[in-house]
Amino acid sequence: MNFLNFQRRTQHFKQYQIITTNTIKIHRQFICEFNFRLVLGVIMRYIVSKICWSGGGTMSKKTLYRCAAVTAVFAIWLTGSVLYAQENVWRIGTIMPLSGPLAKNGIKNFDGVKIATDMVNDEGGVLGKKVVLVSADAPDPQAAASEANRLITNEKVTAIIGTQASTLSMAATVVAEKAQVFYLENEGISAGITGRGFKYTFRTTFDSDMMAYQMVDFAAEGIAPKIKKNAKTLRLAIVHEDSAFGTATGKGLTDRAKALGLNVVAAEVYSAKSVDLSGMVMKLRQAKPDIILAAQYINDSILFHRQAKELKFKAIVIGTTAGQGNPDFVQAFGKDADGVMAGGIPSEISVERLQAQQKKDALEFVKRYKASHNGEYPNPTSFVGFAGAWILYKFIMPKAGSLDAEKLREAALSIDVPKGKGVLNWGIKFAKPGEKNAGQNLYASAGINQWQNGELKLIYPKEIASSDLTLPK
Amino acid sequence: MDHTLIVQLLISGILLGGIYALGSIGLTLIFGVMKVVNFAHGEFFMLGMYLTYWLFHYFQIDPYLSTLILVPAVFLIGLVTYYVFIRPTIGSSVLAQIFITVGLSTIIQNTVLLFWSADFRSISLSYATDAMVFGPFPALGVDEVMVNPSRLIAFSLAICLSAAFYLFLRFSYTGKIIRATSQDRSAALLMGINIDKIYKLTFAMGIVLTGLAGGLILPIYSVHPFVGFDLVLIMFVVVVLGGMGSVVGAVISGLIIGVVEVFSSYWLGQENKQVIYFLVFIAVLVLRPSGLFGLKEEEEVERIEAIE
Repeated sequence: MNFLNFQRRTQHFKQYQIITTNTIKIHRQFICEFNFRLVLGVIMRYIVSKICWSGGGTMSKKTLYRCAAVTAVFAIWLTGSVLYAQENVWRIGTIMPLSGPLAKNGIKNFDGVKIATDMVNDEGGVLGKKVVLVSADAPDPQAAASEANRLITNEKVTAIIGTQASTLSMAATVVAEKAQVFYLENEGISAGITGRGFKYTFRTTFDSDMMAYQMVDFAAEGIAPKIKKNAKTLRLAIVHEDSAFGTATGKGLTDRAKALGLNVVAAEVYSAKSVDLSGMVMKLRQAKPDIILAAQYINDSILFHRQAKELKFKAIVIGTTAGQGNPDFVQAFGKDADGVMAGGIPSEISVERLQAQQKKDALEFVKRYKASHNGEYPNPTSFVGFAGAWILYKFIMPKAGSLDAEKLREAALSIDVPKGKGVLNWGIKFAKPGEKNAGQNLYASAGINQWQNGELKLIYPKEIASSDLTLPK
Repeated sequence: MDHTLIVQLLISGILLGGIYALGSIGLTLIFGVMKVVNFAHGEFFMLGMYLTYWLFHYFQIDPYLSTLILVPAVFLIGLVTYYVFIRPTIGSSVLAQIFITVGLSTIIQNTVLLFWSADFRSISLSYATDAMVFGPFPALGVDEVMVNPSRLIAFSLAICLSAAFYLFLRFSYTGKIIRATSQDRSAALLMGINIDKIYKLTFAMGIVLTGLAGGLILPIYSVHPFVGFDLVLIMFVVVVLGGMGSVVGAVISGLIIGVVEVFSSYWLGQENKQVIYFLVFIAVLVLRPSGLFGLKEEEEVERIEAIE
C-alpha cells in the first residue's frame, strides 16, 4: 500500500516537472484550484501548529519554515492529479447502467466504448494524447442525473458518452445541457432526446422515428406483397411498452402507418414490468392482424411470444433489437425464434460488405470483442457503443483539437461525412440548431434483422444485407 | 358476448392467479407465524428460479424433477438465512426486521448480478409451454380453449400445497404448536414450546415454498437478478388482500387478482389493469381492514399488544 502510494506520488511529481516547463499552457482552472488549495493548506497548517504550540507562545522560525515546506509539498501533491488530468490525457466521462435492471445492455454498450478507446489508444491516441474513460454507473434516471452532476463538478469532465437507455439519457442530458457539457448519446433512441432543442446533446445513432419508419415501410413494401396483400388489405397491429423507448417508437410507428394510409387494427400499450400479457394477446388475436409491429424490451418480448404461443396466436412480428433481436430471445425460443424480425441496430452489420476503412475498423473491433468475450460475436448494442465513441475519437475530437464543449460542438456541427465513409455503414452529419431534431446524426440508419436458423441476419437495407426475407410458416 | 372468449379469459385468469397464489404462500406463512415481513421474498423466489435454471443448463435436469434437489437446497438456504439474519432481530423492533430484510434483498440481488450477470435466462421446454387444446364444446357454445401445462401444474400445486398446509396447521401436533406460537409468543414460551425451533422451521418452510414456486414458473418466465422486483409487489397485494398470515386467503385472493387482471386488461387495456385490481384491493380493505381471511381487527390488536 505504502509502496503504491509512493509510486503514485513520484508519478505526479514527474507530471509536475513536465508541466512546469510548459507554464504557458496552464489552465485558468488549474491556477484557481492551486491557489485555493495552497491557501487552504497554509491555513490548515497554521491552525494545526497553533494548537500544537498553544502553550509555548510564538512559533520559532524553524517551525514556521518547516510548516511552509510541508504545506508546499502537500499542495503540490494535491494539484498533481489536477495537472495530470488537464494536460496529458483526454478524460471523457461515460454514464451507463452497469448495475440494475438495464445493466445487461449497459455493460455491452460500455464494452463497445471501451474497445473503441483501446483501439484509438493503441494507435497512439487522439492527437498524440491517450483517452481515459471516467466511468459512472447509472441504474436509474435519478442516478443518471446525479452521476452526470458528479462527473461534471467533481471529475471536471467536459465531454460525456452515454447512456444506452432513453430514460437515463433524458435525465442525464438535462444536467449536461445546464452545465454546458458536450453529451454524446450513442444508443438511447427516443426521439425526445434530440427533440428538445438542446445545444450540447448529440446523438450518433438513429432515432426512434427513423427506426419506426423503416419498420412500417418494410412491412408495407417488403412483406405485404409476399403475403399477397396491398396497402388497403394489410392488417397491422402496433404494440409497445410504456417507457420513453416504447412510447417514442410507438408514436413513430403510428405516424408512419397513418401517413402511408395503412390499416391499423389494434394498438396496445403495456408496462414492460407486466407479469402477464394474456388479456392483450387475446385482444390481438381477436383483431386478426397480419403483421405486428412491436416496441418491446427483452423480458416482456419473451413473455409476449410465450403467451402468444400458449394461446395459439400467430402473426408475423417485427420487433426491435432491444427485444426480439436480443440474443436472450433466441436462447428462450430456440427454433421457434426463426422468422421473427427485429428492426433497429443492424446485426452483424454485414461487416464484410462495408467499404475500405470502415471494414477494417469494424473487423478490428469484432476481433477484439471476440478476444475478450470468449469468442462471442458482438451484440448490436456493443456495435453502436463502439460507433458512438469512434465518431467522437476519429471525427469530432481531431477537428475540435480540445475537449472544450464549445469547440466539440462546433466541430460536430461542421462535420459532413457521406454514408459509408463514417463508421459501420453510417455517415456523419448532425442536424443544425434550429432544425427539427437538432443534434441528431442524420446519416445514421437502422436496419431490419431476422432470426434464421438461430442467427440474426440483416435483411434490410439491401446494400448491406446478409440474407433475404424468409416468411415464417 | 363470445362464450369462447370469456371461458378463455377465465382460464387464463385462474391460471395466472395460481402463480400468484403459489408465490405468496411462503410470504404469508412467515408473516403469520413470525410477524416478520420478508422484504427479501422476491429474492428467494429468484434464487429458486436460478437454481432450477442451472440444474437444467448444466445437467439437463427437467425443472419438475429438479424440485427434488431444489427443496433441500432452498431449505438449507432458509436455515442459514434464519440463523445469520433473522434470528438476531426476533423480539426487536419491526424497523430492525424491515432494515435487515430490505438489506438482504439488495445484497442478494447484487451478488447474483455480480456472479451471474444481468442476462435474461430462460429454458425452452416445449411440452410445458405448448398449448393443450380442449374442446370444442358445442353444448356450451364454446369453441376450442387453450390451457398451458406449466401454468396448470403451478395452479394445481398451489391448491394442493395450501390444502396440505391448512390440514397440517389444523390437525398435526407441530401445526398446533406453530399456531400456538403465532397466537401468543409469550404464552407458548411459558407452555414449554421451543420458540426458536418453531421459528427456524417456519422460516425455512416459507423459503422452501417460495423457492419451489420460483422453480416451477421457470418454464414460463425468464430469470434475471431483478425478477423478484416484478413479482413481489403483486404478491404483497395478494397476501394483504387475503389477510396476512392466512394461507387459504392467499390462494383465494391470488385467484381473484389473476381473474380481475386478465379481464380488465382485455376490456380496459393492458395499461389500465393495475388501476382495477388496486381498486378491488382498496375496496376490500375498506370493508375488511384485515383482509378477506384475516383475523378480526380486535383480535389483531390484542395480539399486537401481547407481542409488545
